Amino acid sequence: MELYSDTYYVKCVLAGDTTCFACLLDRYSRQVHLLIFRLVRNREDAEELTQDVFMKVFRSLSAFKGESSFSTWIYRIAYHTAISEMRKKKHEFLAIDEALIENAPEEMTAEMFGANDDSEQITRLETALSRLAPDEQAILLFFYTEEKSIEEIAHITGLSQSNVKVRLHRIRKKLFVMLTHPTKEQENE
Amino acid sequence: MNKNEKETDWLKLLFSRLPEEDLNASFCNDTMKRILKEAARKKRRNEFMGLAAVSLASLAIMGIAAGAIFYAGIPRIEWRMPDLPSLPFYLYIGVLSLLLLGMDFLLRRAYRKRHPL
Repeated sequence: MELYSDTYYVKCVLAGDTTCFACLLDRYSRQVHLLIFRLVRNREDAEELTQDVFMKVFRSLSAFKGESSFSTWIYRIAYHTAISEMRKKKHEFLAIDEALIENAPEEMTAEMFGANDDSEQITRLETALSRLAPDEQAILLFFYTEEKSIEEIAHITGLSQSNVKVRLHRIRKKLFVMLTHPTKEQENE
Repeated sequence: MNKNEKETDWLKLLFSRLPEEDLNASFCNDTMKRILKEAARKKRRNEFMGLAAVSLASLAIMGIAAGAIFYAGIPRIEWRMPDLPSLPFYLYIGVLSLLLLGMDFLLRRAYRKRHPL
């Protein structure tokens, strides 16, 4: 079954063979769930949202015209579902001084940060990520964990390619600032 | 390797170390159940919409036909009673046959009651 392309399964489902959707579900559920989990940071919410994403995918399957890959199309739905859910919850995100971001000495930061032990690095990264706006977190996750290209990220987020590049650069700098200037809570830990 | 690539690799490595979260084992089954329910609901809705469309189209055709026949007079239909001089005789024979059949039925029932099998 794995040999068939996504488009083949989409055509099968649209022709009335709903069971073929199980193959698409099997292929993408883990990736979509992991992305949503990293954004919402709650197991139950992530599972519910992943299920909602696949329900949306099934309902709007006829709208998939193959202009992008099926995975990009699914990620687009997952991105918008997760972002709107996170906006509903109105988390507070850290505002950082623009000058601090602009003057962030990235190279030195990387070296300094690299000196910390593994689990501490991960904890600090997770904390820093949670303080970014949902769309910023999503762009970073698409680029670094899902290894999506700028073109694909642009398609998923609905931004232009140049906008994605600029935003990625800024978010990266913001992340560096947050990693090297830990919050008071982090310092107390 | 330039500065940007170095940073990207470093961040990529860090992101790759983020803990993974496993999906519930019953997730695919549960979702497929919802999908199949949704498919059945969609099918029922499509069938209902199809039936409603056919019914509406039929009613519209019947309405147009009734309007055309009774109001616009299209097509012109003339009803002529055929001339049947022997109609009273055939009616008499028909009524007589029905009466005889009825009497036969009643007499048989009375006979069966008196002589059960």
